[in-house]
Amino acid sequence: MKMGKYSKFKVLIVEDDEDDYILLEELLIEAVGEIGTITWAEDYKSAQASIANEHFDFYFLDNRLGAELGLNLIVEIKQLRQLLCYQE
Amino acid sequence: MLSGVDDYKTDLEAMEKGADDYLIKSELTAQLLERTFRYSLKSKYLEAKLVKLAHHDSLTSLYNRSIFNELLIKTIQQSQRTGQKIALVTLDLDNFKFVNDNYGHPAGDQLLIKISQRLKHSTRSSDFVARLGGDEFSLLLKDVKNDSDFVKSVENIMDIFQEPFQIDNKSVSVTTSAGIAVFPTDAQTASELIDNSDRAMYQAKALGRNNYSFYNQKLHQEAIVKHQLELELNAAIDNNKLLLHYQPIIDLKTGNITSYEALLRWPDNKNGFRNTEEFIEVAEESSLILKIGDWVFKQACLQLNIWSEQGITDRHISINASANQFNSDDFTELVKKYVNETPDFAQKLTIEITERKPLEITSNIQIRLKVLSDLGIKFSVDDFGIGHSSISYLRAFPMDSIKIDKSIIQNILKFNEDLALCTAIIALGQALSLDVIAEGVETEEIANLLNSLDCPYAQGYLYSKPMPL
Repeated sequence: MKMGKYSKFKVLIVEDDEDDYILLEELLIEAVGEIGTITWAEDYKSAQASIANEHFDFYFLDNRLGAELGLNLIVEIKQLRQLLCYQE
Repeated sequence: MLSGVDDYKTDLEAMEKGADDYLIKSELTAQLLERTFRYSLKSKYLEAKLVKLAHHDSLTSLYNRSIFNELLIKTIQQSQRTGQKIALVTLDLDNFKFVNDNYGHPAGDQLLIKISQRLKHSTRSSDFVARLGGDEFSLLLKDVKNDSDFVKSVENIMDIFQEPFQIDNKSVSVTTSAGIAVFPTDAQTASELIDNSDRAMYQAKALGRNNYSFYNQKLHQEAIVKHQLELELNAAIDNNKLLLHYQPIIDLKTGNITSYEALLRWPDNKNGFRNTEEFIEVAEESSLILKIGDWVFKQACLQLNIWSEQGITDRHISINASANQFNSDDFTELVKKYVNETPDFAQKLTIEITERKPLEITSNIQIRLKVLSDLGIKFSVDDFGIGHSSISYLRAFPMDSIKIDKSIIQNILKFNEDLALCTAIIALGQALSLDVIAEGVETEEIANLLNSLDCPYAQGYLYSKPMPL
């Protein structure tokens, strides 16, 4: 297993299918080794809450989230990131 | 972006919205994910670099004009919410063209870099420093308590130009002119603040360069007077120019001196004294109040030692302290230091706290007073009867005595209201087992009346004005 490079990274996975989430998490760890934290949001609403409350380094967004589209979360992430840019 | 299906349109839309990659779930492998991580990280790094380039001046790495203007607007909004003042300082080097002409442009650039480094060092991390272009810099000073702090900050900035700059083994001297405008005193909007700070800078140039000027001259004068007073006071403490005068406190029944109130005096050059209230206020706004406290305690200890050597052991000293001094642990630590150094000091010390600027009743302040009270130090409420603190004060803090304000005492023969107030305070003292001291007693008649009212102690010109011992 590779160690180190991503050990402080925070990853958010937005995925409404638990099996897909577990599979992705396992693949991620296999791919890059230790990861700081992996947070799972199982629907659009809890994803919005996680995005607003915390800053993640990587976001994996499933597009089909019930009636909502994961695509629309990208805009929210970008807006919050822009605000952070001003705070040195 | 993850998707169950390979859909070109969604892929395109995701990229447009800012996604780094579009992955088909069924095609996911560890290798693919690792590569996605790596590429995404690289593009993030480039993005951050671009943001930095867009916000920072490429020569000095300070903020550039466009981001500084945005920061100014945001800071003004913040200031409107918090009520804190901010100052915009505009700097323009006085003889930069001379440097460029005589040493060449690369040397000029080096100078700008060195100035930027010193500017960064001379300001706090919460302040913003920007290079607006050419030899013009702007600073945004925040989190300032008093107007005189702006003067201090600006003097720090001016100071960095005192030492010559080393450019290519040559010593290059350069001066600057600075203009300061304060929000909200001098302007209501960011652009108005910029204009007024600029105006003040040109005013400084007109005054002969190597100078600074406030847009608001009245504020400038007041701030400078205060700053000057602070410097003089600091020197006066260091050179032992302050004095303690003592005024006796008399037991009305026996006529004996029981204690002395130590009063701070600062002689001026005209055989008089400077206004104590005025310089104490300045001391309280800076850290000088602690230094003064230290000096006063040292003198009081010396005086107690002198009495002890003379065989006088039953005499006490009262020292004035302001409410502000109890806002941190520094003062209690200071008192503890002297209590440890001088035997009996705690038992012979009363700290008088004025009611004019009352102590806030908070648990921290209560604890601090309790610590000192446990050591044996007594507390007295000074100027009682004219402030806002009232009776809750006596309950909240470990008080031992009340000093009735002289404005009440001096009128007890003239006005029934003052007599009634005085009688009530004496009764209050008796009920709460507090000593009562009448201040400002100037005539025998008043002393007799107080005695008949069972007021135990008195102080005033009738007995003695404050004198050196």
